[in-house]
Amino acid sequence: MKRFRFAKAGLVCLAVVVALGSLGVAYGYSTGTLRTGDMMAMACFTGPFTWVVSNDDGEVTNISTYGAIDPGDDGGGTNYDKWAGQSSDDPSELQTRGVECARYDKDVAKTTAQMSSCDRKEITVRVENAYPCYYPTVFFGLKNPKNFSVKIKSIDISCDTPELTVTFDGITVGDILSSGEEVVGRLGIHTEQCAQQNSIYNVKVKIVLVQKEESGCGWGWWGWWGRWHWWHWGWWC
Amino acid sequence: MLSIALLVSLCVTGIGYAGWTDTVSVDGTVETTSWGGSLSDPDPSVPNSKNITLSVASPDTLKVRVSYAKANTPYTGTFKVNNTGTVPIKIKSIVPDLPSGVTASVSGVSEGYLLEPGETKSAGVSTSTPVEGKEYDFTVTFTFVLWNE
Repeated sequence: MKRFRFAKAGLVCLAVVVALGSLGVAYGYSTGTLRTGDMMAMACFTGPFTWVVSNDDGEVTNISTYGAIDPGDDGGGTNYDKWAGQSSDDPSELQTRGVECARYDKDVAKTTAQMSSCDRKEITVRVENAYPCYYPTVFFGLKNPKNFSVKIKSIDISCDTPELTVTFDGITVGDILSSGEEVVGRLGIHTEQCAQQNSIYNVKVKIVLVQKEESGCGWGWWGWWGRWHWWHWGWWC
Repeated sequence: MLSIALLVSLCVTGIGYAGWTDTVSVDGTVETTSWGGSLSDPDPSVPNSKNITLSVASPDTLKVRVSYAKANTPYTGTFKVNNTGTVPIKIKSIVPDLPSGVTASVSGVSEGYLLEPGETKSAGVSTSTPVEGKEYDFTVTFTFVLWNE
């Protein structure tokens, strides 16, 4: 009889701890969507993207940490001005952050870049009125919003058309971002001579972030415990 | 048993937490525009209209016919050069394909001339033929390119 009660208690405990485990899993994969009553509310967490700047949207953008990101993007066109203040003389080469780049003396195309306002997981770049040799650059900040280190697991650039040449740098696979650390990514889109008129081409860059294994043991749960310094015994790893 | 259960649950919790992953993306759309030039509105000059005919054989080719004109006398006509796109263009070349002894020149525009989107420029062609009482056909072909080529 005593053994029976112990087994029952054990089962209850097992259920509780499994439930807690499930809670952990759920927390780990949380997407940040909350339901409040009958209303769906998005929880606006601070996502990985922190800012985004196009160098042909007619405005020099200052980011406090870095200063002017895209000098030369000062609006208007010198000898032809299609977009007025919405755009600048068209860039003809990839821009380096904080350094002016070569530009044509005409404002024909324009490029805008926006970040999804709530979850900050998506940047949308739109290039309008593009033509061969137009070469805008988009800069963005990617920050580790978690309280643990994350690693860039993969970067997948999809642009299977010869009409565009895409440059992506500033972030590479294997980079480790400690909590709160930010890196600056750069995306350049060059329209090639073979581009067709009145066409639409797409570019997609997918970046996968994973939690860095703190202990280096390859055991996920050590990563969890590794965050508790009083528990992080050296002999484990 | 309780210890094992606790260990298992902690593993699950830890794996769940350590398995954190996130995907972010940059999506770009590039919309190209239209660019190009054309010739239009061919018109023989009034004093010579009996002897010279102009037509547009293709968007970039002007066709000229001189009929029974006086030898070595200039006959002229006019036409228009248009930027039909939304990107500035320039005239890369103007190439007449002339029969022997025929001369022709284009005025108003020249190689390297820049046309802004929507711009139309009036131009002229002047020609003379070597032999009176004959009919001559020739073409003048324009090549348009983007201004940055």
